[in-house]
Amino acid sequence: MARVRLEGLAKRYGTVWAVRDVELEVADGEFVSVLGPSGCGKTTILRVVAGFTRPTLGRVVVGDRVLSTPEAQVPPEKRGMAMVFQTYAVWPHMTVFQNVAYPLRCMRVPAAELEARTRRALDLVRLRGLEDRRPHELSGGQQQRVALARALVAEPSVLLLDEPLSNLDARLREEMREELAELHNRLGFTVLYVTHDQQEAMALADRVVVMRDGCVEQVGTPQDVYDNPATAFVARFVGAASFLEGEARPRGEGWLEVTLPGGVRLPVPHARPVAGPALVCVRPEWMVADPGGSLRGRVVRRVYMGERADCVLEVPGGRVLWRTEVGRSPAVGEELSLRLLRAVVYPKTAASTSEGMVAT
Amino acid sequence: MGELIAPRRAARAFVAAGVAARVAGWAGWLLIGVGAWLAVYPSVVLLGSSVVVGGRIGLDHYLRALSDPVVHRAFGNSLLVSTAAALLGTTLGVLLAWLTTRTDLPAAGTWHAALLLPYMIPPFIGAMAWVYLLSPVGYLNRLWTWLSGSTDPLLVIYGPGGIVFALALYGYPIPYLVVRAALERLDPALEEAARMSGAGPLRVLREVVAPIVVPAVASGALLLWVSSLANFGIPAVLGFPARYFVLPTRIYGTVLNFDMPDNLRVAASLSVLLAVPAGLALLGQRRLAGARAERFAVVTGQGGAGSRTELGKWRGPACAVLASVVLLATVLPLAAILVTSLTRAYGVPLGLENLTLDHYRTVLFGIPKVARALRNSVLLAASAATLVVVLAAAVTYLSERLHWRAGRVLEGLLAVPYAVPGTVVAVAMILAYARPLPVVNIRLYDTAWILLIAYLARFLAIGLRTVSSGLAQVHASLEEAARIGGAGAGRAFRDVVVPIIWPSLRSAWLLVFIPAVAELTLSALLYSVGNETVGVVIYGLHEEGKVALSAALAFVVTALLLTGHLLTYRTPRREWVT
Repeated sequence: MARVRLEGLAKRYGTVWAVRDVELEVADGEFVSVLGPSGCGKTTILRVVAGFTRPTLGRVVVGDRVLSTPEAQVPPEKRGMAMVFQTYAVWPHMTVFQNVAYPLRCMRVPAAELEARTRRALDLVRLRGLEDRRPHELSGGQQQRVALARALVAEPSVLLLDEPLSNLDARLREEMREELAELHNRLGFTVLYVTHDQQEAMALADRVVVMRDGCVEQVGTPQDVYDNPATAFVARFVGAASFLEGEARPRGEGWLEVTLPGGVRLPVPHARPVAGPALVCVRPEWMVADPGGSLRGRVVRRVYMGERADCVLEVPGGRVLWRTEVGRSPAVGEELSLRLLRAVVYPKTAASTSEGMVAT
Repeated sequence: MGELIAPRRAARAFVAAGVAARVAGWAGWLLIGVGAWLAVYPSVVLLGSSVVVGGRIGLDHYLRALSDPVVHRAFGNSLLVSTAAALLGTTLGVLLAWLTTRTDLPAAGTWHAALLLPYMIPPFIGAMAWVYLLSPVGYLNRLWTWLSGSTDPLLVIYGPGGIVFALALYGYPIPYLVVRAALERLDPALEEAARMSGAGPLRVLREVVAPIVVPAVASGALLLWVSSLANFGIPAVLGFPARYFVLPTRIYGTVLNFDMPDNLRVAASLSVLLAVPAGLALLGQRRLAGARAERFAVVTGQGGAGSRTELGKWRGPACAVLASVVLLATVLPLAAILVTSLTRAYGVPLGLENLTLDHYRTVLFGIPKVARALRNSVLLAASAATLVVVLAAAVTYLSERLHWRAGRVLEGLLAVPYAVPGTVVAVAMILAYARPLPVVNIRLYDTAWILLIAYLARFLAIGLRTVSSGLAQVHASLEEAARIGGAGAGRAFRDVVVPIIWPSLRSAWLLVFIPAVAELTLSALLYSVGNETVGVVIYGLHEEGKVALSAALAFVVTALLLTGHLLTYRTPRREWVT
């Protein structure tokens, strides 16, 4: 059973808390991505789970084994996990074969079995034929695959990945992403995947943990996190989001009325009632052109992307990014009205105020 | 800023650029000329002299040297002590490097600073200190006789054993720094990946860290080997009394042996013989530190703390080892020098009644030669350092910014007088300047100028290396940003480049000044009456038996050097590693 549980995990360096009170349960075979900007503590969490860093508070439990507490730690080599590093960490003084076979050598697997399993692992990542090469003769993508093969050869129950694709170029990154997803489907190990790239996290994970400044902002499926961001930070970090400031008033079942600067009253479909100063978060595809719509504005910029064209509209209360189809996208300077199909409204606190109205 | 530059200004700038290019070209040729004169001319004269036999060309000197049992012995001794010292010093250096970078040793930074102190003590002074401690009437031997009651000294420092000991003790900083740099550059993820693969900490050390660091260890060992081979001061102080010669001291003896016919030419052939193994070893070291090392040097992107081995119960023993090294290399020798300088006479029982400051008074104020020597040393070293920095800055700037390809050539030329043992450089200088210069008819041999030239030849290479690594950090775009902003080339250089490379200019200055001020190897052969350096005076007093005076002067000089080192230690360590 490779169920990973983080109980009240916290880590302090000097006076700074890198990780604060993280509770997470990863089911056996689940692919969980820890997502956040640099410095949010995601790598620290991974290193605590791997056994390189001792937690200040809390425990790490895998299956029914307690692996980390503030007092005692099971050393990394005895945890039965595997890890893929951002810098690949492929040993320069060993061949590809020796690199991949190393975990099996540490487990004292007999020679014939070692050979067979190593070749199988190399097949998995499509590196057959390169066994005798040295790392410096390989490209970045190939080195990353060596690292992956080395991680998989021991058939780990838990696989830890620390931003494994961030050193690769865009196209290679997408290829490797697909390969990873495929391998996970096939082999079914539990994955903890740390990244700052929200597209990667959304595309690969069963569940996403969004972190900021050491705290968990939201845990949920990619869909949850995208459609129902728990905080303005999550809304901004995952996907594009625009924010409008105004005064909210509940208006019957599932509706709010938000008064924007200038007196414009905007009907907002919203299940939860919110009253008082508020931030309205809209994603580009949550608005539709409607001559009767309450959100009137002027197109100030048009961003042509090939398959779609985004427009930035100046409206009372700020600017919004609106996604349109290429054929029907308005020109700069045009005035039009939009209607909200959905939105997420946050009570305005110091934490939820956003600086930029249009986020990518 | 939005306006176009007025046409006339543009034209003037264009002309200025052309002039600058021509000046640069002219300056370039001048610098090549300087380099050739400093490096090529003496080398040619040295080689030439070694094959001139009584008026004709011949290899007699070499043949005689190679069949002379005295030379055999000296050469053999050289190889023996260098190899032993390299092995000993490298083992020590590797252990110390590992302890200070890869373990959870407390106050590792302080230990590191303390471990580098012996590098600042002129080797011959270090050797003299160990004479005070372990001569037949040395302090440690006296302590031994007092404790054990036996009349025989425990250990006498003279001879090959003492030489190896001193060479290793004062030379370990070389492999220490090289291995340290390699360990620090090691990506910690390499070790972590091994741990995740199931390897315990010891296995990781053996199978991942050690193989990757081996080239650095070999590189450090070779550098120490060459340094030991070329060392003059230590075998002079510790070898002469026991009639134990190595090649540099044998060459010294030959140069001063005016009874030998053609002695300078014989010395020249011996110098060439000395230069060969040194040169080969350095070439080997270059290969080791070159492409292969680059492959193995995995630079960590994100400076995470490298994995540290927990010492646990070994913390005590580790600190004991470190403390003993600091004790033996720095504390004990300095204490011995101090005590000797304060005691009425070397050999009398130590005690408060025998303490006196007379020696300091005599040596600093009573002997005019000393004051003169101090002045000479400081002046020579400072001039050499300043000239080196200016020349290095000019050459580096020309090479990097104006893509002057000859810079490479110059660096290669100047590597020779740096790589080759100091004794060889000295002999080459003697031969090159023995006869008066044409036109001006001045014989440089009897002046202080020959020392200045020798220092320049010797230290220009290190100045170049330090300054060029500093300039490499000033990306061209920094200067270009200033140019776009409206600054002319000179102004951009002054406002952008100079402030940023200032620390490396300062480092280069110190890297020349400090070894030059108390050096002995070159000045022992090149000084003339009235142009003594402080190193020559200290050594001379010691040889004359005026031990206490010698100790007093040695203490003053060493204290000044150490203070200087400690004061300037704020410069990044990187710039101290040569």
